[in-house]
Amino acid sequence: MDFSQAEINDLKKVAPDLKTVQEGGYTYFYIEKLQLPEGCSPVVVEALLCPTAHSGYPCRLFFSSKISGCPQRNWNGKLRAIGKNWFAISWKTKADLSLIEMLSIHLKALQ
Amino acid sequence: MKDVKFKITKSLKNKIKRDLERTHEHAFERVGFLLTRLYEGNDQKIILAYDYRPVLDEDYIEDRSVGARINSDAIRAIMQISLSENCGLFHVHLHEHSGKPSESLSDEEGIHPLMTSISRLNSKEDFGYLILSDDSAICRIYDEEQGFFEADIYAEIGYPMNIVLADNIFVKPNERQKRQTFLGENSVNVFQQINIGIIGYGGGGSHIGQQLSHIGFKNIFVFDDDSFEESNINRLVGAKYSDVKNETKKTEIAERHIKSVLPTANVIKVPKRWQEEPETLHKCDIVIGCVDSFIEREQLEAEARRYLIPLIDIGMDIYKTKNSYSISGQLILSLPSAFCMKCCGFITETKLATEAKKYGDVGGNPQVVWSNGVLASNAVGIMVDLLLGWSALKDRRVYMSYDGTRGLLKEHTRLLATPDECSHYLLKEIGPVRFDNL
Repeated sequence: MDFSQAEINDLKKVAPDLKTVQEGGYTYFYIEKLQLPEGCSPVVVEALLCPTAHSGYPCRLFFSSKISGCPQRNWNGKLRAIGKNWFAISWKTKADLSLIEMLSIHLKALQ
Repeated sequence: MKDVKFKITKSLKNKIKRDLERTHEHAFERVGFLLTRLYEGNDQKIILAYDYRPVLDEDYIEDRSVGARINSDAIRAIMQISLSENCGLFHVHLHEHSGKPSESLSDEEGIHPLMTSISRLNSKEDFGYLILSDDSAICRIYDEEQGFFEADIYAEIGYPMNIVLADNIFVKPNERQKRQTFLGENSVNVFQQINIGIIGYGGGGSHIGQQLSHIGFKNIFVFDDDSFEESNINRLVGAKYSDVKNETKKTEIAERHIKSVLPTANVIKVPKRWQEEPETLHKCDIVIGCVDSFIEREQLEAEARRYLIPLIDIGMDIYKTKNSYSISGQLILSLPSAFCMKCCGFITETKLATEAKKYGDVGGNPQVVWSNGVLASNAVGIMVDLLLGWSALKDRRVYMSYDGTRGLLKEHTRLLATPDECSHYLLKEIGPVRFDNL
């Protein structure tokens, strides 16, 4: 899926080290050091944003570890993508969001 | 010393052969370079070939004393590719005969110093050379201490696979092998040295383990995080009633049963999800997936493709119809670079979404031993043909649908609309993950 440079630039404001990687027909955005909302532990994690439908969700944000210090969410820790294990919450979003909106909505779920 | 495997898809190897078979204006033979990625585990190395660059026509030097001599432009160009792609390089050329090739004196004099010098480009990748013949190959890797040494296993991934073992000792078929000599004289070596993975040791996986041991496969990797329960006894072959009381791990049952048939077997037990010990999965040369969900299938296929591991998936379900029940299932061969389970429409976002809605409520699906057995037996048959090519079927595509109600296993109609090549898992994505900067 193609995203405009403007959308990517918006996401890079939050994640300057933004990278992409493909696997199985998905394009992922990889954020090596994603700052989580206040109170979350750990404070910084690796994250993987899949902006297209993935495993039953319109888009998905994967974290390198389970996050504590946030509201109780339905966590799934049995996810593997790009050769790594990930955690994700069951969090539905609307379709047709911009990249930064996708990231923000997932992070708000941790506040 | 780590085990070293060199893997290449047959489609890439065929592309190389077509290029190398072209005549040149003055060179007697052509050469090219394979681009590779190295995966290094604790006790193994896997070199994965993902692309090929031929030497340009104008970069051959006229020299009647050797098959081909290339100029410094060709060497500079390929070194630049290695630097920019951060990849390993393997010099490749062709000896047009059948059987395992060996280096000529001029090969040694020309290729050894060239690849030794190029290997200094990148200490994190491997460098070497590959000589192809009509039906075999030899792959040598450069090591600072050892010089050039042969890969323990060279594997072409296609149907059938072409496996060349460094340690290819002729083993006289024993009594166990006497009724299966049609599998070829190399079969005993393959059974000794190839690693087969079974993911999920339930109704399907237990039949697979049992049959592999009867055939004589020595190295069987069993992944299952479950312990045995009474509800499993209707289908898990090799289980005993005492396993219910003892809550025996399914991997323990696997080892006990396999070794009862083949006492010399190495059963590598992983009583966890494979995702918790992926480096053990990477050791497998073929994996048979007997998992329950689409998400598990998707994850297993992605990992298998990344390391060029052929995956055979089996599964079955029992549905309630209006007045009765119906049994159906599938058997799919997911061969790297050929169609995947998404290409053939078996895994779709709709199915993944439906499954996600039922998350936490997926246990207890009906399963029966006879259907598990049919699918497992056919999976083993396809796996043995894939490895040894005894049927002489070439470039076979396998997506079978199982009608367990009528006892029929036939080619799935979806196969007609399935492309030959996969558009989801690309060769450039293989090996340890690499990111593109934005």
